[in-house]
Amino acid sequence: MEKALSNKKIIALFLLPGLTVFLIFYFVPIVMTAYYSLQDWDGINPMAFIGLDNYTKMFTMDKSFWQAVWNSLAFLLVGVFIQLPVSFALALLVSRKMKGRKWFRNIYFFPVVMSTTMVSLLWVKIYDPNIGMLNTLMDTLGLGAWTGAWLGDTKTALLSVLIVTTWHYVGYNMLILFAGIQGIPEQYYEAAKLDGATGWKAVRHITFPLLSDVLRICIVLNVIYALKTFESVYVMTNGGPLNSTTVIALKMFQEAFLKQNFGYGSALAVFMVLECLIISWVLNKILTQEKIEY
Amino acid sequence: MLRKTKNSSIYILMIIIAVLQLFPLYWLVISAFKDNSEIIGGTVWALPAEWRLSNFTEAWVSAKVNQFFGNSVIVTLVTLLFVLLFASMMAYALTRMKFKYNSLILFILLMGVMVPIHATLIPLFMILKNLGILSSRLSIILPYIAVNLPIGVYMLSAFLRTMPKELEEAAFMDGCGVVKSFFKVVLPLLKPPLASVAIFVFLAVWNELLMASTFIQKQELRTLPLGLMNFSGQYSISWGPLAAAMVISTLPILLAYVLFSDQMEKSFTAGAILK
Repeated sequence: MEKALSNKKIIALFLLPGLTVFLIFYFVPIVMTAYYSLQDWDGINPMAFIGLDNYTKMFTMDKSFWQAVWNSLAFLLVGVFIQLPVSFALALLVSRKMKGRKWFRNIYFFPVVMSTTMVSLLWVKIYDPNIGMLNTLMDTLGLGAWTGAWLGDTKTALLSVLIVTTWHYVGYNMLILFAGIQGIPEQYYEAAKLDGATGWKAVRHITFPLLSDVLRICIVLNVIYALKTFESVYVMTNGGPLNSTTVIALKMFQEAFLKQNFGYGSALAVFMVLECLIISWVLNKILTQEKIEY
Repeated sequence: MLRKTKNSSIYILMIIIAVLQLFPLYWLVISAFKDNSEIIGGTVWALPAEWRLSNFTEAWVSAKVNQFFGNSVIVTLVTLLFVLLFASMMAYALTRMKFKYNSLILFILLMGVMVPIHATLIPLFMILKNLGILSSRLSIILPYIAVNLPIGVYMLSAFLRTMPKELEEAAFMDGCGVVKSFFKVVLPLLKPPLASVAIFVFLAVWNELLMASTFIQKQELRTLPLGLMNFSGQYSISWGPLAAAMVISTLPILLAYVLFSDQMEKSFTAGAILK
């Protein structure tokens, strides 16, 4: 057995099919993106090496790049400081021993498995000024003065998109946190009860510290999801009105496939990768503390 | 007494949140059965006066949702098959076989988990163009396999590391070669993690838009997300048929959710912890 398992032909047979597909269609493209980002290239004519010019252009001349960075930051902040606390509250609610809690958990989680395209198209219709449900609903409730063209107005577009992503993904973190809460042994709560710690006190002193690892995972996940935002913006607003909702991934897509700036598009892609890697690395460093044990 | 009122107020809170989560979906479903005048003129939450199916037939036939649906099924199934096969073979090699570059390969695969797919888009477009497959289904199937392999390998290797080797060794003693004992003994034992990977990949591929909208050039090869997006541009005035198309495209997911909700939850939690 040992001998057969170190037979080179057999190892190659098991590894090569998958590895070849992965290398050609994932790994090599990543390396090539970095190379393209140093070129001036329209995808048709020969490339011209221009060093870091694409990056200089990105940081100093492209105003909509900074708009995209700010918007990513908005996605990030809403993800971490609004969506995550709501998810935590939901996770606590569905962890209570009560009738129907599985139903509630399933209902809160279901939007997560729907495609972003679907959810975004649905909300485009909900926000639609003519046939949309939101304005009609507000009229019925006597809030007619507040109705608007939600996605078409620079003042409300970004907020409207953020509401959709929160609605869509709030169940995801809830589920992860719920799984974490299930892992906390019952006797901790019983011991705390004897000391008079119930309700919020128990949450603060038991649930919260013991979930620190899971919370860290959720924060990193939310940050990465926020920085990678593409589909919801692409479908709902295509970055508009007036770039007010644009994000890095969308800019990359537009530069490369609409304006044929393959070099500049690649530079934006590299920026996005570095941003994701560095921020998640830093977050992991900051948020990893010594393990708490009781 | 106090406890009772507290409990019922928590129920009310949970029901309000559930309504917030479900109401948009409810509106989608009832709109799929309404005509335009009923959607615009009628009460938002009212059930349709008549459960007409014309929106569904219009979406399915005239708007070619049948075609998009078929494309999505083909792309998803082929991708699933190859991801499951390749990932389990790789995971087996990486956990059981002895060779030098084991950790290097794991590290390269980890990049696939960490680096966003957006970073592969532009060169992939060029590679697919040079291979001459931009006008075929392979243009998205191959990248989908590549993108979903790493997470599959990681989930399956985690399982294999905890799995005892005795059964494989017994099969080997009985004269099965490595290949035969892998397919006869190991693969059947891998069913639980394979189910998790399958759900993960099914949702990722069924819902994918970015690569589909970049690489699919032919109208008749569009998958559901891409088809729906274009459909919504053409049918911007009438909401009913689009709503019907969206209901149709979500049905397989709803079905999978009803059948495998526990498995799905496990698969999502496992996937999250990997990242």
